[in-house]
Amino acid sequence: MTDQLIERLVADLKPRDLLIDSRLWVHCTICLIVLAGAVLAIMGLRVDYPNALENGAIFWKPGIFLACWIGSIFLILDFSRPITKINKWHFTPILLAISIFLWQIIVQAPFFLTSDATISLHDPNAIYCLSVIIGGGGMTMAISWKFWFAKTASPKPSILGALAGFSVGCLAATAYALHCDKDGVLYIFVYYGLPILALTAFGSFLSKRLLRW
Amino acid sequence: MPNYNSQKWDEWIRAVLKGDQNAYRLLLTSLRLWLTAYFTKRVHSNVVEDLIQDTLLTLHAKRQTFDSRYSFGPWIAAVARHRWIDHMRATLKYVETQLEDDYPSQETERDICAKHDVKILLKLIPSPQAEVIELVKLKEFSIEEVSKQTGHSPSSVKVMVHRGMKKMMAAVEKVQDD
Repeated sequence: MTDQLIERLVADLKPRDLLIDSRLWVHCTICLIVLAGAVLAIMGLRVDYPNALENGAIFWKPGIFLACWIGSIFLILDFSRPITKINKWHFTPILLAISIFLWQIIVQAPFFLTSDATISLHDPNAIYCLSVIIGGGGMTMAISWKFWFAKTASPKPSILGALAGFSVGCLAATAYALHCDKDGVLYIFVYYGLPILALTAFGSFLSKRLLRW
Repeated sequence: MPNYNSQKWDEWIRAVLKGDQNAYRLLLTSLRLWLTAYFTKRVHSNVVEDLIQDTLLTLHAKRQTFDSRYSFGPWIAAVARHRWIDHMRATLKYVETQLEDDYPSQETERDICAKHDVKILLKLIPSPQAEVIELVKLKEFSIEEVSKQTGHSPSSVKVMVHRGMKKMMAAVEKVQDD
Protein backbone atom coordinates (compact mmCIF):
# COMPACT_ATOMS: atom_id res chain seq x y z
CA MET A 1 0.00 0.00 0.00
CA THR A 2 2.73 2.45 0.95
CA ASP A 3 4.65 1.58 -2.23
CA GLN A 4 1.59 2.46 -4.29
CA LEU A 5 1.12 5.68 -2.34
CA ILE A 6 4.75 6.66 -2.96
CA GLU A 7 4.29 6.07 -6.71
CA ARG A 8 1.09 8.14 -6.69
CA LEU A 9 2.76 10.99 -4.85
CA VAL A 10 5.76 10.90 -7.19
CA ALA A 11 3.47 11.01 -10.23
CA ASP A 12 1.59 13.96 -8.73
CA LEU A 13 4.71 16.02 -7.99
CA LYS A 14 4.76 19.52 -9.40
CA PRO A 15 7.05 22.45 -8.57
CA ARG A 16 5.55 24.50 -5.80
CA ASP A 17 6.27 28.00 -4.48
CA LEU A 18 7.65 27.99 -0.96
CA LEU A 19 6.21 30.11 1.81
CA ILE A 20 8.63 33.03 1.82
CA ASP A 21 8.45 35.51 4.69
CA SER A 22 9.10 38.57 2.56
CA ARG A 23 6.09 37.73 0.37
CA LEU A 24 3.76 38.01 3.36
CA TRP A 25 5.27 41.38 4.25
CA VAL A 26 4.79 42.64 0.69
CA HIS A 27 1.25 41.26 0.50
CA CYS A 28 0.21 42.81 3.82
CA THR A 29 1.84 46.14 3.02
CA ILE A 30 -0.04 46.31 -0.28
CA CYS A 31 -3.30 45.51 1.57
CA LEU A 32 -2.56 48.31 4.06
CA ILE A 33 -1.77 50.83 1.32
CA VAL A 34 -4.91 49.90 -0.65
CA LEU A 35 -7.17 50.08 2.41
CA ALA A 36 -5.62 53.34 3.69
CA GLY A 37 -5.90 54.76 0.17
CA ALA A 38 -9.56 53.77 -0.01
CA VAL A 39 -10.30 55.34 3.41
CA LEU A 40 -8.52 58.57 2.45
CA ALA A 41 -10.15 58.70 -1.00
CA ILE A 42 -13.67 58.03 0.25
CA MET A 43 -13.68 59.56 3.74
CA GLY A 44 -10.66 61.86 3.64
CA LEU A 45 -7.96 62.67 6.16
CA ARG A 46 -9.25 63.65 9.62
CA VAL A 47 -10.73 67.13 9.47
CA ASP A 48 -8.68 68.44 12.39
CA TYR A 49 -5.35 67.33 10.97
CA PRO A 50 -3.48 70.61 11.75
CA ASN A 51 -4.34 70.17 15.44
CA ALA A 52 -3.67 66.44 15.26
CA LEU A 53 -0.26 67.14 13.76
CA GLU A 54 0.46 69.57 16.56
CA ASN A 55 -0.61 67.30 19.43
CA GLY A 56 0.76 64.15 17.79
CA ALA A 57 -2.55 62.30 17.55
CA ILE A 58 -2.10 61.81 13.83
CA PHE A 59 0.97 59.74 14.65
CA TRP A 60 0.28 57.94 17.91
CA LYS A 61 -3.24 56.72 17.11
CA PRO A 62 -2.47 54.94 13.82
CA GLY A 63 0.93 54.14 15.38
CA ILE A 64 -0.67 51.95 18.07
CA PHE A 65 -2.35 49.76 15.46
CA LEU A 66 0.57 49.86 13.05
CA ALA A 67 2.90 48.57 15.79
CA CYS A 68 0.41 45.82 16.71
CA TRP A 69 0.11 44.90 13.03
CA ILE A 70 3.88 44.66 12.59
CA GLY A 71 4.19 42.53 15.73
CA SER A 72 1.37 40.25 14.61
CA ILE A 73 3.03 39.64 11.22
CA PHE A 74 6.27 38.65 12.97
CA LEU A 75 4.32 36.21 15.14
CA ILE A 76 2.34 34.85 12.17
CA LEU A 77 5.65 34.03 10.50
CA ASP A 78 6.80 32.29 13.69
CA PHE A 79 3.67 30.14 13.77
CA SER A 80 3.25 29.30 10.06
CA ARG A 81 5.49 26.26 9.83
CA PRO A 82 5.59 22.87 11.59
CA ILE A 83 8.61 24.01 13.60
CA THR A 84 7.59 26.95 15.76
CA LYS A 85 10.46 29.23 16.72
CA ILE A 86 9.12 32.17 18.70
CA ASN A 87 11.53 35.04 18.82
CA LYS A 88 10.87 37.09 21.95
CA TRP A 89 11.90 40.27 20.11
CA HIS A 90 8.84 39.80 17.91
CA PHE A 91 6.69 40.94 20.83
CA THR A 92 8.50 44.29 20.94
CA PRO A 93 6.15 46.15 18.54
CA ILE A 94 3.11 44.97 20.51
CA LEU A 95 4.73 46.06 23.78
CA LEU A 96 5.45 49.42 22.16
CA ALA A 97 1.77 49.75 21.19
CA ILE A 98 0.69 48.89 24.73
CA SER A 99 3.13 51.49 26.09
CA ILE A 100 1.73 54.20 23.80
CA PHE A 101 -1.80 53.30 24.86
CA LEU A 102 -0.86 53.37 28.58
CA TRP A 103 0.87 56.71 28.06
CA GLN A 104 -2.35 58.07 26.56
CA ILE A 105 -4.36 56.71 29.47
CA ILE A 106 -2.09 58.67 31.82
CA VAL A 107 -2.27 61.80 29.67
CA GLN A 108 -6.05 61.61 29.38
CA ALA A 109 -6.68 60.47 32.97
CA PRO A 110 -7.98 63.89 34.16
CA PHE A 111 -10.78 63.68 31.59
CA PHE A 112 -11.93 60.19 32.51
CA LEU A 113 -14.18 61.41 35.28
CA THR A 114 -15.82 64.08 33.16
CA SER A 115 -18.90 63.27 31.15
CA ASP A 116 -17.02 63.99 27.88
CA ALA A 117 -15.42 60.57 27.97
CA THR A 118 -18.72 58.70 28.06
CA ILE A 119 -20.46 61.16 25.74
CA SER A 120 -17.83 60.33 23.12
CA LEU A 121 -19.14 56.75 23.13
CA HIS A 122 -22.48 57.97 21.76
CA ASP A 123 -20.87 59.23 18.59
CA PRO A 124 -23.10 58.33 15.61
CA ASN A 125 -20.02 58.07 13.36
CA ALA A 126 -18.78 55.12 15.40
CA ILE A 127 -20.71 52.87 13.03
CA TYR A 128 -18.23 53.80 10.27
CA CYS A 129 -15.37 52.84 12.55
CA LEU A 130 -16.92 49.44 13.24
CA SER A 131 -17.84 48.91 9.57
CA VAL A 132 -14.41 49.78 8.20
CA ILE A 133 -12.54 47.66 10.71
CA ILE A 134 -14.82 44.63 10.44
CA GLY A 135 -15.56 44.99 6.70
CA GLY A 136 -12.07 46.01 5.60
CA GLY A 137 -10.44 43.56 7.99
CA GLY A 138 -12.76 40.76 6.86
CA MET A 139 -11.98 41.36 3.19
CA THR A 140 -8.26 41.46 3.89
CA MET A 141 -8.56 38.25 5.88
CA ALA A 142 -10.31 36.49 2.98
CA ILE A 143 -7.53 37.53 0.57
CA SER A 144 -4.73 36.74 3.02
CA TRP A 145 -6.25 33.38 3.88
CA LYS A 146 -5.96 32.26 0.28
CA PHE A 147 -2.57 33.87 -0.19
CA TRP A 148 -0.90 32.62 2.99
CA PHE A 149 -2.88 30.95 5.77
CA ALA A 150 -4.33 28.08 3.71
CA LYS A 151 -0.78 27.06 2.81
CA THR A 152 0.57 27.01 6.36
CA ALA A 153 1.08 24.01 8.65
CA SER A 154 1.11 25.33 12.18
CA PRO A 155 1.36 23.12 15.26
CA LYS A 156 -0.88 25.72 16.95
CA PRO A 157 -3.57 26.47 14.35
CA SER A 158 -5.92 28.27 16.75
CA ILE A 159 -3.16 30.72 17.72
CA LEU A 160 -2.31 31.28 14.06
CA GLY A 161 -6.00 31.86 13.22
CA ALA A 162 -6.35 34.31 16.10
CA LEU A 163 -3.23 36.15 14.94
CA ALA A 164 -4.68 36.32 11.42
CA GLY A 165 -7.82 38.02 12.75
CA PHE A 166 -5.84 40.31 15.04
CA SER A 167 -3.50 41.28 12.23
CA VAL A 168 -6.19 42.22 9.71
CA GLY A 169 -8.13 44.04 12.45
CA CYS A 170 -5.06 46.14 13.29
CA LEU A 171 -4.41 46.75 9.60
CA ALA A 172 -7.95 48.08 9.05
CA ALA A 173 -7.78 50.09 12.29
CA THR A 174 -4.52 51.72 11.13
CA ALA A 175 -6.21 52.76 7.89
CA TYR A 176 -9.35 54.10 9.59
CA ALA A 177 -7.35 55.94 12.27
CA LEU A 178 -6.11 58.28 9.51
CA HIS A 179 -9.69 59.53 9.10
CA CYS A 180 -11.08 59.27 12.63
CA ASP A 181 -10.80 62.37 14.83
CA LYS A 182 -11.87 60.74 18.10
CA ASP A 183 -8.75 60.35 20.22
CA GLY A 184 -10.24 59.39 23.59
CA VAL A 185 -8.73 56.17 24.96
CA LEU A 186 -12.18 54.96 26.01
CA TYR A 187 -13.45 55.49 22.47
CA ILE A 188 -10.41 53.74 20.99
CA PHE A 189 -10.73 50.88 23.44
CA VAL A 190 -14.42 50.32 22.64
CA TYR A 191 -14.75 51.10 18.93
CA TYR A 192 -11.35 49.91 17.81
CA GLY A 193 -10.66 47.26 20.42
CA LEU A 194 -13.95 45.36 20.20
CA PRO A 195 -13.98 44.82 16.41
CA ILE A 196 -10.33 43.75 16.53
CA LEU A 197 -11.24 41.33 19.31
CA ALA A 198 -14.19 40.07 17.24
CA LEU A 199 -11.93 39.45 14.22
CA THR A 200 -9.41 37.69 16.48
CA ALA A 201 -12.13 35.40 17.82
CA PHE A 202 -13.45 34.81 14.30
CA GLY A 203 -9.97 33.90 13.04
CA SER A 204 -9.51 31.47 15.92
CA PHE A 205 -12.93 29.94 15.19
CA LEU A 206 -12.14 29.55 11.47
CA SER A 207 -8.80 27.96 12.24
CA LYS A 208 -10.46 24.97 13.91
CA ARG A 209 -11.88 23.97 10.54
CA LEU A 210 -9.57 25.53 8.00
CA LEU A 211 -6.09 25.42 9.48
CA ARG A 212 -6.03 21.82 10.68
CA TRP A 213 -3.65 19.62 8.77
CA MET B 1 16.46 3.27 14.51
CA PRO B 2 17.81 4.50 11.16
CA ASN B 3 19.50 7.85 11.60
CA TYR B 4 18.54 11.05 9.89
CA ASN B 5 20.00 10.92 6.41
CA SER B 6 20.26 14.67 6.70
CA GLN B 7 22.67 15.56 3.95
CA LYS B 8 20.98 13.37 1.35
CA TRP B 9 17.50 14.47 2.45
CA ASP B 10 18.50 18.12 2.12
CA GLU B 11 19.79 17.53 -1.40
CA TRP B 12 16.70 15.55 -2.40
CA ILE B 13 14.13 17.96 -0.96
CA ARG B 14 15.72 20.89 -2.80
CA ALA B 15 15.43 18.93 -6.03
CA VAL B 16 11.87 17.89 -5.12
CA LEU B 17 10.81 21.49 -4.71
CA LYS B 18 11.90 22.08 -8.29
CA GLY B 19 9.79 19.10 -9.42
CA ASP B 20 12.43 16.31 -9.64
CA GLN B 21 10.44 13.06 -9.46
CA ASN B 22 13.46 10.76 -9.08
CA ALA B 23 14.68 12.70 -6.06
CA TYR B 24 11.17 12.55 -4.64
CA ARG B 25 11.03 8.76 -4.98
CA LEU B 26 14.42 8.45 -3.24
CA LEU B 27 13.33 10.81 -0.49
CA LEU B 28 10.02 9.08 0.21
CA THR B 29 11.61 5.64 0.19
CA SER B 30 14.32 6.75 2.58
CA LEU B 31 11.79 8.49 4.83
CA ARG B 32 9.65 5.40 4.93
CA LEU B 33 12.40 3.49 6.71
CA TRP B 34 13.00 6.25 9.19
CA LEU B 35 9.27 6.75 9.84
CA THR B 36 8.78 3.02 10.41
CA ALA B 37 11.34 3.14 13.19
CA TYR B 38 9.91 6.42 14.54
CA PHE B 39 6.33 5.17 14.84
CA THR B 40 7.17 1.61 15.89
CA LYS B 41 8.62 3.02 19.11
CA ARG B 42 5.44 4.98 19.80
CA VAL B 43 2.37 3.09 18.61
CA HIS B 44 0.97 -0.39 18.07
CA SER B 45 2.43 -2.10 14.99
CA ASN B 46 -1.03 -2.29 13.37
CA VAL B 47 -1.24 1.49 12.98
CA VAL B 48 2.38 2.17 12.02
CA GLU B 49 1.70 1.87 8.29
CA ASP B 50 -1.31 4.23 8.51
CA LEU B 51 0.78 6.86 10.27
CA ILE B 52 3.61 6.53 7.74
CA GLN B 53 1.14 7.10 4.92
CA ASP B 54 -0.44 10.06 6.73
CA THR B 55 2.99 11.59 7.21
CA LEU B 56 3.96 11.12 3.56
CA LEU B 57 0.64 12.66 2.46
CA THR B 58 1.25 15.59 4.79
CA LEU B 59 4.74 16.04 3.41
CA HIS B 60 3.24 16.10 -0.09
CA ALA B 61 0.51 18.60 0.81
CA LYS B 62 2.60 20.91 3.00
CA ARG B 63 6.04 20.76 1.41
CA GLN B 64 5.85 24.50 0.69
CA THR B 65 6.22 25.16 4.44
CA PHE B 66 9.75 23.74 4.42
CA ASP B 67 12.20 26.57 4.88
CA SER B 68 15.15 25.81 2.60
CA ARG B 69 17.52 27.83 4.82
CA TYR B 70 17.32 25.00 7.37
CA SER B 71 17.86 21.25 7.38
CA PHE B 72 15.02 18.95 6.32
CA GLY B 73 15.44 16.47 9.21
CA PRO B 74 13.87 18.57 11.99
CA TRP B 75 11.06 19.60 9.63
CA ILE B 76 10.01 16.02 8.82
CA ALA B 77 10.42 15.09 12.50
CA ALA B 78 8.00 17.89 13.43
CA VAL B 79 5.51 16.67 10.81
CA ALA B 80 5.77 13.07 12.06
CA ARG B 81 5.35 14.24 15.64
CA HIS B 82 2.25 16.21 14.65
CA ARG B 83 0.74 13.12 13.04
CA TRP B 84 1.56 11.09 16.16
CA ILE B 85 -0.04 13.71 18.45
CA ASP B 86 -3.16 13.72 16.26
CA HIS B 87 -3.32 9.95 16.49
CA MET B 88 -2.82 9.95 20.26
CA ARG B 89 -5.45 12.65 20.70
CA ALA B 90 -7.98 10.49 18.88
CA THR B 91 -6.85 7.39 20.77
CA LEU B 92 -7.14 9.01 24.19
CA LYS B 93 -10.59 10.34 23.30
CA TYR B 94 -11.59 6.86 22.15
CA VAL B 95 -10.26 5.24 25.31
CA GLU B 96 -12.00 7.78 27.52
CA THR B 97 -15.38 7.72 25.80
CA GLN B 98 -15.69 4.35 24.10
CA LEU B 99 -14.07 1.97 26.56
CA GLU B 100 -16.72 2.46 29.23
CA ASP B 101 -16.54 0.18 32.23
CA ASP B 102 -20.31 -0.41 32.06
CA TYR B 103 -20.06 -1.84 28.57
CA PRO B 104 -17.02 -4.12 28.37
CA SER B 105 -15.62 -3.92 24.89
CA GLN B 106 -15.46 -6.82 22.47
CA GLU B 107 -11.70 -6.28 22.14
CA THR B 108 -11.82 -5.08 18.58
CA GLU B 109 -8.54 -4.39 16.79
CA ARG B 110 -8.98 -0.71 17.55
CA ASP B 111 -9.38 -1.44 21.26
CA ILE B 112 -6.21 -3.51 21.32
CA CYS B 113 -4.20 -0.80 19.51
CA ALA B 114 -5.63 1.97 21.67
CA LYS B 115 -4.82 0.12 24.88
CA HIS B 116 -1.29 -0.58 23.68
CA ASP B 117 -0.69 3.08 22.80
CA VAL B 118 -2.13 4.39 26.06
CA LYS B 119 0.00 1.94 28.03
CA ILE B 120 3.12 3.55 26.55
CA LEU B 121 1.89 6.94 27.73
CA LEU B 122 1.12 5.91 31.29
CA LYS B 123 4.71 6.54 32.32
CA LEU B 124 4.23 10.23 31.50
CA ILE B 125 1.76 10.80 34.38
CA PRO B 126 1.94 10.35 38.17
CA SER B 127 1.77 6.70 39.21
CA PRO B 128 -1.49 6.81 41.26
CA GLN B 129 -3.36 8.15 38.22
CA ALA B 130 -1.56 5.75 35.90
CA GLU B 131 -2.52 2.82 38.11
CA VAL B 132 -6.20 3.80 38.15
CA ILE B 133 -6.30 4.35 34.37
CA GLU B 134 -4.65 1.01 33.78
CA LEU B 135 -7.20 -0.78 35.94
CA VAL B 136 -10.29 1.03 34.61
CA LYS B 137 -9.46 1.54 30.95
CA LEU B 138 -6.93 -1.12 30.06
CA LYS B 139 -7.92 -4.01 32.30
CA GLU B 140 -11.58 -2.92 32.27
CA PHE B 141 -12.32 -3.36 35.95
CA SER B 142 -15.47 -1.61 37.15
CA ILE B 143 -15.19 1.63 39.12
CA GLU B 144 -16.37 -0.18 42.27
CA GLU B 145 -13.73 -2.90 41.90
CA VAL B 146 -10.98 -0.33 41.40
CA SER B 147 -12.31 1.65 44.34
CA LYS B 148 -12.00 -1.42 46.60
CA GLN B 149 -8.54 -2.30 45.24
CA THR B 150 -7.04 1.16 45.57
CA GLY B 151 -8.92 2.50 48.57
CA HIS B 152 -10.14 5.59 46.69
CA SER B 153 -13.85 6.44 46.65
CA PRO B 154 -15.69 5.66 43.37
CA SER B 155 -16.14 9.35 42.54
CA SER B 156 -12.45 9.95 43.24
CA VAL B 157 -11.55 7.09 40.86
CA LYS B 158 -13.65 8.72 38.10
CA VAL B 159 -11.99 12.08 38.71
CA MET B 160 -8.52 10.49 38.68
CA VAL B 161 -9.25 8.79 35.35
CA HIS B 162 -10.55 11.99 33.79
CA ARG B 163 -7.67 14.13 35.06
CA GLY B 164 -5.13 11.48 34.18
CA MET B 165 -6.36 11.34 30.59
CA LYS B 166 -6.13 15.13 30.33
CA LYS B 167 -2.66 15.07 31.83
CA MET B 168 -1.58 12.41 29.34
CA MET B 169 -2.77 14.57 26.43
CA ALA B 170 -0.89 17.57 27.79
CA ALA B 171 2.21 15.39 28.24
CA VAL B 172 1.96 14.12 24.65
CA GLU B 173 1.97 17.70 23.35
CA LYS B 174 5.12 18.44 25.33
CA VAL B 175 7.06 15.33 24.35
CA GLN B 176 10.19 16.33 22.46
CA ASP B 177 11.56 14.39 19.56
CA ASP B 178 14.53 12.25 20.44
